[in-house]
Amino acid sequence: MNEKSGKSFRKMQYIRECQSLDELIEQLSFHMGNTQDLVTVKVQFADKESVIIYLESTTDTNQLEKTFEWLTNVYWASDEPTETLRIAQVERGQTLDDTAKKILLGDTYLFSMEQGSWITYKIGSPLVLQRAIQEPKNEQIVRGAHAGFNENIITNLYQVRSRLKSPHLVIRYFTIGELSQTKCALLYLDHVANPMIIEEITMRLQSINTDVSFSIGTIEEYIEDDNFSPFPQLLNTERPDRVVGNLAEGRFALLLDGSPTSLIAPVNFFAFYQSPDDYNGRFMVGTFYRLLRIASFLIALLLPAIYIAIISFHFEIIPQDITLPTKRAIEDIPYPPLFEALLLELTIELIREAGIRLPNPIGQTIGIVGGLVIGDAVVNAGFISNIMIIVVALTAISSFVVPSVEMNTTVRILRFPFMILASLFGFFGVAIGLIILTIHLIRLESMCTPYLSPFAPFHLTAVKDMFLRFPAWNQTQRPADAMPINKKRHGKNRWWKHERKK
Amino acid sequence: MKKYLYLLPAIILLSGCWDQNLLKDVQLVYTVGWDQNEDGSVTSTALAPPIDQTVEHVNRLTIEGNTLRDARYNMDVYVAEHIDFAKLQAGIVGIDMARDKLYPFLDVLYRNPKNHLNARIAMTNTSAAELLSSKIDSQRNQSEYFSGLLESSELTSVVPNISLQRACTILFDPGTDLYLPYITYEKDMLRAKVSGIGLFSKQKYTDVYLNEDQSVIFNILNNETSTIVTLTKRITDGKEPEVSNWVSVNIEKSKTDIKIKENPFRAEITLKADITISEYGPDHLQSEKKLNEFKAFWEKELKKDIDEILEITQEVESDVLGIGKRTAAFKPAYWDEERWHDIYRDMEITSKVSVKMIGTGIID
Amino acid sequence: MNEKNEISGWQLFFLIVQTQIGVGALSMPADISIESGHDAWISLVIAGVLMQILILFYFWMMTTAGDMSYFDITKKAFGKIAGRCLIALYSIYFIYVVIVSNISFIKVISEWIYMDTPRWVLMILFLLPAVYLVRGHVSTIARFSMLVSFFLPILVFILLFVYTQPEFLYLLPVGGEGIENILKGLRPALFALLGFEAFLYFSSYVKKDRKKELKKATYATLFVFIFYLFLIITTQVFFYVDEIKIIPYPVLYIMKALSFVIVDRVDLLFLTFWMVIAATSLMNYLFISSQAVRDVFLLKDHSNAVVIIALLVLFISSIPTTKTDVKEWTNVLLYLSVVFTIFLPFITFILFRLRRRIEK
Repeated sequence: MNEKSGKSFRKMQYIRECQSLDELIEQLSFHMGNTQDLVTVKVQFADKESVIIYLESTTDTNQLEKTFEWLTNVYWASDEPTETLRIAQVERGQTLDDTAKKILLGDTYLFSMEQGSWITYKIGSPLVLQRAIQEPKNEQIVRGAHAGFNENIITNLYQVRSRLKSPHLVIRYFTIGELSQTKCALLYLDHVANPMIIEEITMRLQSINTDVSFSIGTIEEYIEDDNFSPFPQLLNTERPDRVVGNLAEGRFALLLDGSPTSLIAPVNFFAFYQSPDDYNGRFMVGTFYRLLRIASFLIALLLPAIYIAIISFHFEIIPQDITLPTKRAIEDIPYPPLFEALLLELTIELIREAGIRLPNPIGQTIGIVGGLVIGDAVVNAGFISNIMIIVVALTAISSFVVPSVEMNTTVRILRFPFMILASLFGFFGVAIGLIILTIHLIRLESMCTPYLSPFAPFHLTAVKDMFLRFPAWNQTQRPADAMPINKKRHGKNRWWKHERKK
Repeated sequence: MKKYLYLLPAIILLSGCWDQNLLKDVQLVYTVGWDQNEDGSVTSTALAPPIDQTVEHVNRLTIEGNTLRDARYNMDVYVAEHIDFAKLQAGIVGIDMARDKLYPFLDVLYRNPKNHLNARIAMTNTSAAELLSSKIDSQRNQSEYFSGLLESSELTSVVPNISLQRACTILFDPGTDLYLPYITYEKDMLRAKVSGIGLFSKQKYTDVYLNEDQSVIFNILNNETSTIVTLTKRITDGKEPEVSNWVSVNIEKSKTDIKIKENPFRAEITLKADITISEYGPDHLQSEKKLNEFKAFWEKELKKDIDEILEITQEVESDVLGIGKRTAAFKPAYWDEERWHDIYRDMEITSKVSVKMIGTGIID
Repeated sequence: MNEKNEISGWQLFFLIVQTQIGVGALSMPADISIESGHDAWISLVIAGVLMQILILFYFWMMTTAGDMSYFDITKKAFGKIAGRCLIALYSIYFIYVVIVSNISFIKVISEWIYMDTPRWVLMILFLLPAVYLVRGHVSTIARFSMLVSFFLPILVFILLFVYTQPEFLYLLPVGGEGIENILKGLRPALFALLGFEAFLYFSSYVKKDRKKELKKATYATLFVFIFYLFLIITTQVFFYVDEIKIIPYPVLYIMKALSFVIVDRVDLLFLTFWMVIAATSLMNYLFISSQAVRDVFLLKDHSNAVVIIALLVLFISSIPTTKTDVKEWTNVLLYLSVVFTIFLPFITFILFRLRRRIEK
């Protein structure tokens, strides 16, 4: 830059304004903030003084080397400029700003001056570094596909497309983030998904005004219906098969570059209690585990509250034969039941929070130390009754049954208000809490569709799949909660069964 | 918003007001006995189980008061915790109280929303305080002993399950008289014993009770039998060994019908029973003749027992079978609430028994 | 997107069911038995038939009037100003209904479980969810009513245990109490069935296929009637009739006497369930009254009216404190309800028809 001294620098707008290679390099460098990973190599190309410009941090140099060599050879052989998938000749009117943006995306530019005008080639050689396709750690299943999304949006789209080879699958791109310029893809089936919902989400996506969007969790808050609800209104998943299943039901999915998670909406409450495993096993087993998960929701939410209500208000309800053992267990506990429960619940939350980010072996150790040692010691010390330990442990296990991480945290937080209500008003308080919760769930909407769908409003056909799991051939209709424009899922199956009887 | 945040700890600290009723702060009474004293006041005896599992003896309190509720509150003065009847398993009525009108005493238990109505009610031949303070040899602690005693007697159909709710319903019904399990104390065994059913008339104990054998028949008449209904009778004399003279049967299924007839006004009791022989020393029961003999024997014996019970109840004007209830329902013209017990004493009640031998156990 | 001010025929069905079944159902068997003894069920049957006729009249009325709401019909029938005055009376009546259902529920739980908790605390707790729900759209209220109706089968299931040892003799002789007593029992029986007038106020929200959908809703009263008949017969075969007369809540007493292996004292749990059902009834009335208030003051929507009504209810509800007070307040409602559910709709409708004819 020393040679520049003495000359005044003037910002230019178009490439054609530059008079020399050096000037071009200087201008481009300026447009990219004089970044030092900008590489400029002066070469001879087609007998002309040329320069190759790229960012070393976003360019696959091996690929570039090969492509450039090939380009040179072709030029020597045919004397004609070529265009291929990777190589493109750029129009003359391009601005420096555009060029800089393209370079940032990983393109390489080859400039050469010919008779006072610029000949520009763009060589696409973006550096793609990505994780292999692995099973997502927080959504492991026993049977079925073990593929998961990774951080590359193209790979993710490939995974969806390859499972849904239909012309009806529509992918629409949005760019989110002033600074990050992140690519976001909206996927839906145009003959199933309700156009009103698609319009709604398009509007919401376009209205996002943010600087960086590094993960899909950040855009969730911009587009969900109610921020102040403890319940998640968009389903997170890292599994392409789950995305495909939901797309086929008339929902849409959002993918964000750099984020292995996909957002699915509109969803209802019960969708968070489904697991792809349900569909891979026998339907009775699937139904049983679904009901078990719903039960786990109630246990995780209410068990400590009910226990507190019983021992501090309604001990009459304890059956004859276990009244005395219960009384014996809690006889010498110094704390009120609420405090006792809070103490233990917070301990468990601490253990969980401590273990979650530690490397696996240490995490396990913490779990064991926390669970066994503290639990045992606290009972022996007489601070907490052993029944409370049972209750809290059961609650903790139940709260981890939920297949979805967001719902899991929701349930864990929600049980504290219930415990307080129970300790103040017994069953009455718990019932009031439940009514308010139910009303909230009824009023809540996910993309303008009712959140508690197969129950309120009641749809019998949807209960078959959302709450229970009927055999696949029986579910001829798509669930109504996503309001699909095409309700029919498939025709008659297993007709051979009746044929054979004749 | 911030202002309200301060309320949160206040709410948590406040918890424990108002209706809180901590399990650890109550003394659960499992068995209670009631007696009426000569001056009309009552004595209440409460047995509470020990909290420490290693301790054998129960907490026993005998407190006097003007009413049962009064006595119950007087108890609180003597214990470290709050006395609570919510888990009451058995209530024993002393004989002096049984002789007086019973409902006014039970009312306090019936009315209190905290109590449950499943507690078994029984009476005793002495004062309840005496029974409850007698030494009892039992695996269970004494506070749970009496309800267990009644429960096992129900199993063999000696007594029906008379809960507080049941007793109150019967006491309200002018067409039925109350009957309560009758508990006596056996000094040599150091145990209490259910020795039958005490008969009431107009809410008052008649000083007559049915013994165990009669009680079983009574339960059959009332269609209140449990799974095990066994009767044993002497069928022959002089066989050796002595045990061969006796026969035991199980009543597998029985149904009693009580019909009210007019002209003249009478009641007809029909008992149909399916029985199997459970114990008979001499065996050899294959022949039809022998079985018919048995059938005739049991029909005769059962009819004799039934008539005996009817005679007793009519004598003491205790309409325990609910003939008045049926009269009111089917022949309201004959129903007179005021005079019913006189009518009952003098009315004609006939009985008919038909027995079917359906088995002889697994040997012939 | 989906119409939030629209409900389906089945939703209307559940709205009516939940408006009818309130706290009253707990004391209903006792209330009727006091008048007509063991023939209480006959009184109920007669009342049920009467009510069914009434609701068919309502049905006919609402279908002939097109998709106008009942208050619109009133305005049309009596003219703008008189109509508005009448609606003002209606709103006072419904606020009174809300107050009565509030105090009678608070009475049950403060007698049964919460003897020491101050009544205003219980009332606030009881009104809080009601306000939260009623501020929303009619469709959410309908959904809630529907969800709550799932509790009714549980109640029936628990009560089936009575039939292990029923005493059907207590129902005999049929008609033994005499016609006079049976007719006397009609009054509390009709009172227990009150709430069917919800049909008038909610039916205008049914927009599609009106005739067919409204017909579904008329079965609601039949459903409640059969449910009440079951309740009353269950209590009568369990208790002797004199006993029912002294225990205020026979249904709770039955539960108290039942005991299961896992739960003792089902009544405590049951009362918790019942609280939800009672709350729904109150919510529906609150909604109707807020609609009336909205129409009187020509407000844009009803959500602010709800809060004011709830505060009013809270303050007025703390006036009656003793048992006799509550009884008196309830008795006043009995007479008021005859005026507002039978006479006024009749007159309104006749006037409405006349006006229409003149206009033509």
